[in-house]
Amino acid sequence: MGLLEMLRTSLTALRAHKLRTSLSVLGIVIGVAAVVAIIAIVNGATADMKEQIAGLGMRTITISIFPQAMQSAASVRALTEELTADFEAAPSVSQVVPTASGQGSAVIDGQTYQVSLMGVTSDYAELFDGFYAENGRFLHPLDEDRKVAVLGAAIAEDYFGNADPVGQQLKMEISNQETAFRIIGVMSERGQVGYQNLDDSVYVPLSTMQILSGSRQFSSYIAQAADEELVEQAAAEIEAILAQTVETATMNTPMGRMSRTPYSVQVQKEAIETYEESVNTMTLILGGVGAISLLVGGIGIMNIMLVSVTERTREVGIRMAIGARPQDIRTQFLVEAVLICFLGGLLGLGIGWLCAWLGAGIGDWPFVISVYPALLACGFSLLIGVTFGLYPALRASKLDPVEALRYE
Amino acid sequence: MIELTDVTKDYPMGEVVYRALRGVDVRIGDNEYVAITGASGSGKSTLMHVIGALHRPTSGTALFDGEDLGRLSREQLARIRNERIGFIFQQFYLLARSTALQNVELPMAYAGIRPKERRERSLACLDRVGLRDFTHHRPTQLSGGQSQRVAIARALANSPRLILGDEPTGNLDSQTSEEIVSLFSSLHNEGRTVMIVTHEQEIARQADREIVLKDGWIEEDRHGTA
Repeated sequence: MGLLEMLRTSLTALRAHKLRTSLSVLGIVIGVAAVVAIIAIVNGATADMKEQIAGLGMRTITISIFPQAMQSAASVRALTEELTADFEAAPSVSQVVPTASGQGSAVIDGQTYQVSLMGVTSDYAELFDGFYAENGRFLHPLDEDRKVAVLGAAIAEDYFGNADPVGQQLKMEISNQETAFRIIGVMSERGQVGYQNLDDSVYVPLSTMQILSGSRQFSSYIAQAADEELVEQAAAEIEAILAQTVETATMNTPMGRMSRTPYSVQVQKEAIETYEESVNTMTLILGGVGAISLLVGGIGIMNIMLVSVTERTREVGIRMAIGARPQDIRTQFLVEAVLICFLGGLLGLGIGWLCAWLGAGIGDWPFVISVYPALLACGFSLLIGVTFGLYPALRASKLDPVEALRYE
Repeated sequence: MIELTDVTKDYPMGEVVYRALRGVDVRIGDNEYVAITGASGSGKSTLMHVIGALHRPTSGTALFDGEDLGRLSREQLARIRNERIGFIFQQFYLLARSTALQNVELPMAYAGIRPKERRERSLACLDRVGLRDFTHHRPTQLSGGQSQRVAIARALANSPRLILGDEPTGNLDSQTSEEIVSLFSSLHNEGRTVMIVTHEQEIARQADREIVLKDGWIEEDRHGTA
């Protein structure tokens, strides 16, 4: 008997029990849909995150120096200048932009809002493609020490709405001290880059920031390696400079006095790798949950096939009496199980993609549709069909024809 | 055609073993018309299952066209049942979800015959048993006599040389029984070997030879004239 005929026979048998068949198919649909949706959603989110991290450029090295003790503004400034010059002098480094970030409160119409404050130099905007002053201008070297501010796109919209903020006053409280800034520009919308949202910050000259917040401040540098190949070497050179310049801090901890390195040097590539690692872990966990539901679906298939074999014992006997070989019977039941799983696989794939598409819409990341999960879903559902259909099929094929005929 | 030598057949019944055949010797030649009779439990159905390649004998040899059924694999036995034997059962044993035509086509499907030829031959077989107009009826839409005719058409599908009937008229009224019995006679007249298991003397009398079984032995083997 040809495979096509087996298929037709199986379809007839499955149609005879529509509800039972639908429920068995549903078990596989849920499992496959879960696996497909998880893979597609994680792929989409990863692609989005990678783009954001890569938005800083693969040559980028982020250096953070943690505040250690009270320091005067002058000494912070001196250290920043010294380090910037030292870093730039390193053979594999092409450009260094120092930044200082902190929190401040903006006072608008008598209301106080927490804002993220970035002290930066005029080079800062050039680090990011598509980040420019859409209105007014960005900071200029001549703005050093002046109380001027440039607003991120989101800040401008949130606090000023449709009004033009350029030329207006912005009162900000930094280190418990209220200072009035003149707004000189509004930046273009750029969104998330690395761990930071460029639209959510207020940019002021680095020197101004250092004067106002002075002590105990967190400073960082964004350095560019001369070449993508040289990133790791540049990072090593920077670390060597830091080891010489920055004293190892000694801290009181519950475990006694401990020392730690008060700085970190992070390469974008590493950031992507770290991110990918955590994504892989998540994929494994979620995929495992999906796989378990597929397994449960498979057990359902086996259960229903065993019922079907018992119910059709007489039919098996008839077929054997008129000349069906054991392998004909085996194949017939196997085809039936595989058909249920394949139908479930196809439906699950469709529903999984639909979920992924909805997820992409909600999470605002690209809808990544790839052949690989489709093949995986179809292949896996076939595998489930064969695995869980095999035992019932073997049982049917091993029936004794005479006993099967007499079965009531 | 068939040669049984000292054939026994045991069935395990829980802990005890039930011996249905206790050493049967019988030879059946080509184009014989044989009735197997005996009380219930005499082993007549078992004998038919052994001759019909449904069961291997426990001991002794059962030759079918010279092939030892006891030494053949399940696949080989299936092939013999498919190509050389046509079964007709008391309960008809038609597939309920299939039409008369599909039921008749089934043995040919297992023989690997192409669909077009299968259809033609099935129609001819149904024609042969007078059911040309019932090809698309399902078993539930057919009377007992019609169902048994479909079963006979199915038994003829692969033109087997041996027709085995297990109480083929057991579920039929007397008039329908006569029609079915005359069909068996005509199959015999066409040159086939026909064996019928029955407990009805009237039907046994139609055969040329009657083998009477008792307690798993052949009690009597008489060649009569129909």
